[in-house]
Amino acid sequence: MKIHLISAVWGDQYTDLFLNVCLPNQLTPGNLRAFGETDAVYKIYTSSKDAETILDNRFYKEVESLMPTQVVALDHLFRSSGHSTPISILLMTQCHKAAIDSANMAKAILVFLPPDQVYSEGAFARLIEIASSGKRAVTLSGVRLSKETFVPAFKEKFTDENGHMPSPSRDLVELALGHMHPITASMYIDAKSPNGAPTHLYWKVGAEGFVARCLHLHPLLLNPVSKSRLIYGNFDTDYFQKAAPLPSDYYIVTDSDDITAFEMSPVDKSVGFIGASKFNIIGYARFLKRNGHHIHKYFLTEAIRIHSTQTDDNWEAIDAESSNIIQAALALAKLPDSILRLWAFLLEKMR
Amino acid sequence: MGRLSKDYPAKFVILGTARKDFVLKAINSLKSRVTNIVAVVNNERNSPFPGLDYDVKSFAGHITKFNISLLATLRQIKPGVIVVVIGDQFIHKNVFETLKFWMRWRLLNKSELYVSYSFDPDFIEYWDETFELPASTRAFADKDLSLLIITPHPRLGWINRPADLTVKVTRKKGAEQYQWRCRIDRAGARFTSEDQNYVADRPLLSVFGPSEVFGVALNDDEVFSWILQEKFSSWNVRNYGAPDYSLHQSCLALEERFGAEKPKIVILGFSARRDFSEDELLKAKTLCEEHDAELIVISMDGKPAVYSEFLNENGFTWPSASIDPGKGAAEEKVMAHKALAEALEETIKSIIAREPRSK
Repeated sequence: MKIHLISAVWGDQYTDLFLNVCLPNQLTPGNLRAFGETDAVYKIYTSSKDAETILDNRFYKEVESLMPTQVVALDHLFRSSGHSTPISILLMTQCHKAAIDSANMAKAILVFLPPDQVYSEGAFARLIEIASSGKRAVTLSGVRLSKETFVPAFKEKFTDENGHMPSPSRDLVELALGHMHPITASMYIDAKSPNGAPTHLYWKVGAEGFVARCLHLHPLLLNPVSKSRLIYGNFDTDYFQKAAPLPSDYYIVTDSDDITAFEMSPVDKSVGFIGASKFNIIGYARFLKRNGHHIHKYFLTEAIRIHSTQTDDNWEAIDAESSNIIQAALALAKLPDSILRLWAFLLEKMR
Repeated sequence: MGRLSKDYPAKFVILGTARKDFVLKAINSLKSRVTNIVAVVNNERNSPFPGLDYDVKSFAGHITKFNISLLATLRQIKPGVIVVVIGDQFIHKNVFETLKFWMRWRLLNKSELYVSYSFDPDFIEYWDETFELPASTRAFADKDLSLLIITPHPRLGWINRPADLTVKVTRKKGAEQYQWRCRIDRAGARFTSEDQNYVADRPLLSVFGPSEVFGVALNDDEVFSWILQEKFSSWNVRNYGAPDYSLHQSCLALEERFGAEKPKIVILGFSARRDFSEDELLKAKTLCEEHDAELIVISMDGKPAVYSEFLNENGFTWPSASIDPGKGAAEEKVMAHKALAEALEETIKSIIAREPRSK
């Protein structure tokens, strides 16, 4: 099994996070060391300035001792980006474009490892298992946490004598629940200021966790059906639809016990547009109408349980509640937008 | 970009779908290379555009298939090339879909579509969603890395893109480490000196050919063209070799470059085993004769010079027949390039010493 593990990282903050939190989290028996029997290459796309830091890092050197590596510094992308506007998404896309071309040429499976994501212990071993079963893509929720508070707590809780950070799923979820990012908080169904772009919706289940319904999921693994190139936008949008067009090719991680991933973002990362009022299903249906393709809509049909304890009947009830809302919203999204707009207007007036 | 020269005949539309500073950067960059520029921007952003030596036209509304205002503006201009300036976050596929839709239904004349990225305004990329990567049958050590430096091209299939990349490779769990750096200038030529300074009054020696000529997996200063530049410092040496080029593509590239510059000596590399074609070699020979250039042909895989009966005395074989520069260890490739430069030195000197070619 040929595998390309891909990471695109640049800038002091993200490089540091990647090297000193993400890599030690990956260098555990159930994660990177699980690739032992496969033909895996770890590929990092970066700038030459950051490449120097990467090549000197002790955890990167450990990766080198485990598997072949490539560090690719694309300075022509980074040198000319000297303006204040964040262009990270487009640069990230350029790096992914290079990575996807390379994997296509080598007929390799892609594993996308963002430089700000941590995984539960055993996540990669499970990933290999799922890929071996014939599934083409593995997607998961990658809930966002506040980096500033989460990282010190994560290091303290999980660092072992080798400096690695294996994090068993439930312990990881338990810790994460105390460090939700404002963006994450704005996606709870009962949020007072709900997010204007609700790509995720969350239903709390006591203090034990939450049920997630996600229009967008992070594609952790992809074994492309067609060797199409990344042309438009992010790798997790149109490209995925072309590379793995059938919903049956997807393995959606629906339980955090299976695989868990959390993304660490600066707390001041823009939340984006915040809706003026509480969640309303007409507004959500209009959002679904405008956003996402058939694979994204398929993602929504699965309830994802992020939990720190054993799940019980209460979770079943919340699953069902979330299912009702999603089914209703998907049905409403089939109506013409003019009707939905009028409906939303009348609801607003009645309020 | 090979095709864009100052005297490019068609109207050159810069379609601003991004912030105006990005659009201005793209215009300023392209102004040095082409004339006939018309900026087409949303009318809400029109006023701050300084229309000094280019026209500025505007349209109203968002870019959709039903935007009559934009369609009317473009029809009036009749562009030959449309460069879509992409903003700081996403490529807006609706823009390309709209333009292609109009062209397909002949509402707009067929134009070449390019994209200019906000992070790299000096470079425009030919927009070809159907572009397929070269499917060579050769095993090539760093084949996938060569993909980092190519971009679609309407005539040549692909060309080198401006790049500065460094690759550090570790194979087999920590063993066999090596690193290579590759820089490509705006004309698609691999660097042959630190500053890649093109001195106008110096004679030009241009090199064309496939990956072996380009020097994939070699540092800039290890490629034979760099060594030749050092040996012939009163000349400009340019390496237009490109990954996976066939002899046909190399000949097309040669033709393109003859449109933009006048090399005195042309070195053409090819594989006698892989894609030998008498017709292509004759075409290259004729082209060089028409442009008063001397042609040196290199067979990259050490195969005998089967073409010697119709080529001049400058036909070469790669100096070390046992080495395929695409496969061997880095040191072997470096040695092969050194040996080639030395072998070429004598031939080039004899050409320079000779009387100029007469037609």
